[in-house]
Amino acid sequence: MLKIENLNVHFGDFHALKDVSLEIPDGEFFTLLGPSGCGKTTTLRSITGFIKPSSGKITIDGRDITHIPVEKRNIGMVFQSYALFPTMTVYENIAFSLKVQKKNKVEIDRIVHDCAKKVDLTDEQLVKNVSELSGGQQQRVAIARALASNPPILCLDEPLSNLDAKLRVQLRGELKELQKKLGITMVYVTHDQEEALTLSDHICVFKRGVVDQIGTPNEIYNKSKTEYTNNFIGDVNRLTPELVAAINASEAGNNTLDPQKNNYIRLEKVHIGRTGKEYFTAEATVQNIEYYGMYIKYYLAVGDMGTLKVFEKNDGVEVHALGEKVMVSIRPRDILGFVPEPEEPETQIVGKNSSKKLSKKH
Amino acid sequence: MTLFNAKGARLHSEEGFSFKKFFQNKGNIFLLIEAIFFIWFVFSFLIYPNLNLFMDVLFSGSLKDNITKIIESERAMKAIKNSFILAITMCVTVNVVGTLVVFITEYFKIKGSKILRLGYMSTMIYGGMILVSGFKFLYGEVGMVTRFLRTMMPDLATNWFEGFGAVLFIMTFACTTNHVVFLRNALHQIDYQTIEAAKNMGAGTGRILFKVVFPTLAPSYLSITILTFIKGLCAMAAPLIVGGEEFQTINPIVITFVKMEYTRSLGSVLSIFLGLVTFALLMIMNYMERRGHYMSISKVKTRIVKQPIKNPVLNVLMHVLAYALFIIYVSPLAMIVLFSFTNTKSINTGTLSWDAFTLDNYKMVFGNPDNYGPMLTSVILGAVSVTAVIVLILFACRIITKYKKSKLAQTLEFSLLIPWLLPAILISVGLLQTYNVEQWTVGGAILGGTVVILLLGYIVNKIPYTLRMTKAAFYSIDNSLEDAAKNLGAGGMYTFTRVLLPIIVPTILALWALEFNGTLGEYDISVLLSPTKINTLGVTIKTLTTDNYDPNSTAVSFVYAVVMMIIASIVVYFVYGRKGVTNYARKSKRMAKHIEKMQRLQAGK
Repeated sequence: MLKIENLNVHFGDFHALKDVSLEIPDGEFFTLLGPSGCGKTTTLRSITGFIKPSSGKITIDGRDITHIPVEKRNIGMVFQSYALFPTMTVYENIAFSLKVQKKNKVEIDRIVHDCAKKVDLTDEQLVKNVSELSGGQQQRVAIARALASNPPILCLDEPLSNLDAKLRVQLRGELKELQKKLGITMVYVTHDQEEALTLSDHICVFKRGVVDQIGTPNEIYNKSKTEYTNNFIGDVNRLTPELVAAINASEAGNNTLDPQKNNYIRLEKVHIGRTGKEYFTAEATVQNIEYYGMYIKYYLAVGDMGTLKVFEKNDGVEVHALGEKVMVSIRPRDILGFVPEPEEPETQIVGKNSSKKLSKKH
Repeated sequence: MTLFNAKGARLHSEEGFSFKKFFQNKGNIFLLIEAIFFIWFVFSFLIYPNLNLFMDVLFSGSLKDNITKIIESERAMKAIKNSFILAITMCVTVNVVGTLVVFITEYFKIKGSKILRLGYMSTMIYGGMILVSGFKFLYGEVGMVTRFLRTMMPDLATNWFEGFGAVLFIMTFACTTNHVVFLRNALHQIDYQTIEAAKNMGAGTGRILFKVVFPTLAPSYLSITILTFIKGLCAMAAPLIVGGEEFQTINPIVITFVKMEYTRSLGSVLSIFLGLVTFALLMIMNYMERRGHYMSISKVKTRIVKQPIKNPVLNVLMHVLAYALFIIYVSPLAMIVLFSFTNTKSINTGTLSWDAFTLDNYKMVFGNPDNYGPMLTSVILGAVSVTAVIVLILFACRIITKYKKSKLAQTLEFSLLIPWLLPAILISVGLLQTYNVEQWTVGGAILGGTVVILLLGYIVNKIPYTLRMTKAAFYSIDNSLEDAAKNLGAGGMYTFTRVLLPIIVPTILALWALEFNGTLGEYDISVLLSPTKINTLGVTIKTLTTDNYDPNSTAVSFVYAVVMMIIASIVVYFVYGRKGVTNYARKSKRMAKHIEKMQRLQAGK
């Protein structure tokens, strides 16, 4: 179990990590998620020892590692660029830490082959120069190299961010499979929510040096505890006060929404043409259409109560035209309300950006 | 104690700083020794000699005297005037020829442009004394060109190729290397789509050239022009050999003055003057460069496509011009090579016949220690000084990159760059003046007249370029490689020797080759700092070319020239060739940028 207690990191005047505490059980795929500058990489680099925290404690199975220097810490790391040594072969890269430890040749050879096998590297690939490898093979070498000294934890710093979209998805699968096979604890840093949701056992969302929420992907996405996490993950509709009032006045709504709160609903939970007792319905006009292939995204003007974005599955049933009048349906219990936090402009920007990102990927 | 801020975290961790702990760590002791060494070295050889020269000139009480003497000296004033005239006219002629050369090979569709380019690039393998002696051989008293001209104009004086015109002619063709390297690069940086867009809007060849292409190249032209100006101002070989009585410039005068006791202070004042002008010009260039180049804003850049010249008359003219230029560039070189295989009579009369061909000159040079001595001397001095400077800079670079936030490291870097701002001649005069007497900085020794001071001169001059190139190489290394090594358990020294050093070895080798090449024919420093018993190649070639006391002298200098050109060609191929080291380095954009900037800096000297 990796445990971080009240970790604080300062860079000059900048307070990068504020009282960060988290626990990562053995064998977990644990993701640190957040926009750039939120402290996720700082946390990871504190775990590996590249950054000295100004206060706080990091322990592995109760053993305090806070002040052990990087080179003595033995925590595996896979870098964003993989940082494979370009002048060495694949074999030499994997053997690097073993040579530092002055292990004998026979043992080095055994461990290198062992690690290569774990990540499916062939003997021919071992003698190659690292520049001759594809992106996927490079990632495997980086992992094998990190595994060679048998670390209890493997840290990965956005290892997929330099790759093109297709390879990224493929390697994501490989990574997850490998983690399950080896049973090693992986601490994974990313700003890509899709990556976090698909890979993780648990996700820790960071907000400006503070832990905002820790939970399973489902908890983070469906039951966000904070407005920040809710906005950061996925795309959301924020309901206007007028719409909230209308829902409250309806039979389905029945005053269950708190108008003092900021109320949100996810795009896929807004429907077109659904009826039923539990639905609030209203007439809306199709204002804009974005075609995604698998999905169609409609922008619906709900009278003068604002615009709602809707994701409809492109299942061949019905495609709506621009200007068409439709009935929009919302189930009030799908609405999440948050007590307004003091206005923080950065959070807003972050939320918008990330929602754009997700919608593009669909 | 804040010896190194960046290391502060480790030096005074929470327990506070303790000397005992500091000295228990071997790395710290090593660091301390390094620091002390660099402080001594930088002060003794980079700061003190120049400071000493300045102080001497400023406060010896004779500054006013010396300036008056210079102003009253017709020779000195004429030299200054000549230098400026040369520099200014060169700015025009070099730009015209340089632009032609680059556009002929890179922009217009000209037949045989690959061969032409090789010819135009010939100044990369022969320069300085060799180039001038080649031109002199062709255009001088017994030269083929002179004899040919005299058949048409019998009244033409045999020494017609002397004075301002001759110097300007040689300097013009000798100094287009900057165009070939930088303007060519800049031209290739142009987004071809901008040219297509202009065409699409109806622009013709001329309009495109003057409204789209040249304006984009303007910043490059500015830098190149400033570098050309400095080269003109600091001209040495051409005025020495073909300047004649009438056209002497500052640098040769400085050497004459410094070599004589009673005019030495005049030489110092003149060299400082030259230093100040160079310094000011380089500062202007730096300022201009910081204002930025017109970077292409295009995301999908297209490679430039060669433009045909549509006007047939113009097209023919351009081809004629292209090959005429080619002949001017290549003929001195070709003549040197050709005549190095002929007998003395042939060389001294500039005539050729079948039975004149012989290998005697080579036998003469390689069979006689007196003759191959200078070559051997320069090879040894070059190898020693280049190796020394690279080792020195590797250590300095480690400190500079590792403790980049520390004031001391920043000061070290800045101090090491001092020689870049000063002409080689000023540095040499400073070293000579300072270490010709007992000096406390070197324990009371007199370095003047020993080989040490010559080596120091070479080393000090090479420091800035070596530093910038090595630093560029270090910077181009992905930071996470060092992190990765640490993460895998390696200590600082292990990481440096096993991970970082192997990566920059190709750059170091290329640097070694380039600088070694530069030292072989070096003249400016050698002529001032060489002990009497040591003859370097550059100085020897100069003597052989100007003082024709021995019928064999030209033959010997030709053999030297051929050997040096062979070495230079190997170096150029090794560094710039197809699989050359810089190509390898170009993979890293950041490093490529650095390299180009550094090449430009180097070109300034």
